[in-house]
Amino acid sequence: MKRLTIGLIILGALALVAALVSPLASPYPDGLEAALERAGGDETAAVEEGGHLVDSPWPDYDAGGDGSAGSTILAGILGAVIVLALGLGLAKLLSLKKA
Amino acid sequence: MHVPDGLLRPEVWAGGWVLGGGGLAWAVARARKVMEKGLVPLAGVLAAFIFAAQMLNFPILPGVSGHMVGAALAAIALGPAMGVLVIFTVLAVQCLLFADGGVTALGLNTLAMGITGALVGYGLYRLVGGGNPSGWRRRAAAFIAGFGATVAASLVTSTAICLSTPYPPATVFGLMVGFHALVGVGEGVITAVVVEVLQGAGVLERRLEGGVAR
Repeated sequence: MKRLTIGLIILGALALVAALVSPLASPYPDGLEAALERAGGDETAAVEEGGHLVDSPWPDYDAGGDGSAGSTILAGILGAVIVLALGLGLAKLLSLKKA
Repeated sequence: MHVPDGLLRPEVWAGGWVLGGGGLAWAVARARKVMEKGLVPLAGVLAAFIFAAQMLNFPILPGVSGHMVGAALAAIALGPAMGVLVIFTVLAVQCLLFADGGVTALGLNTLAMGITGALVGYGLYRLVGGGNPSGWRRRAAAFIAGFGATVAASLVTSTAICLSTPYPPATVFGLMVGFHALVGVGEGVITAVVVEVLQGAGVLERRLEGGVAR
């Protein structure tokens, strides 16, 4: 098998593993949220509550809507497949007419 | 580091779109010149990996977490232009489908994590690694690229926060850069590990074929 193919299989497997263990991710605020909380206090918390202007189908990576681990894993797999398709399409469009 | 809607002043998020949009236009023009057909599958699979890896917040301090961004990795793998576009794709899907990062702030988030991350990460990799480094020099270059890209992105985000809020700039920069230096250690380790996979796959030498860095 070509070296590139093996590399792609490894990367794809790592992506799948990441999606499968995503329910184990740390639930604590990330660096930005933690910095805002410390710098701004309560005011910032209000901003984050109303922090999204458009309705998303799967907010907070909860694809089943029940907050379960399976729901998070499903969100990870759905998102990864969608990003895979978009990345392939975009790269293909941009690479047309070249060797 | 995904900035939500409602935090940035309109002038600041609009400015983020102007600069981020300009960077995206450059990336599209550049990628059309240098993106090889043979690397198309890698662009897709790497984007999927980065999306999934970004879900994995790891603890950096008691009560504070972080996750990788992947811009340095994407730029090392695919060149800075395609690297920017891969990160933009991930950020756009996160924002529109998963409510992670604001729609108004997508321009600024692209500027910080995508464009700044990819350019700084790629620049550091080449600076430390030279052409196509081997062994520990490659691992060190990849680690420094991931670390530096995360810290550089946090500087851009900090600037946008300071322009939008009354929070003391020294506090914002101190906390943001401090936290993201710790996130950057994780980013550096993951970048170095995946760069080894890319090396095994023959991607890194391929990107330097004909002596031209793509």
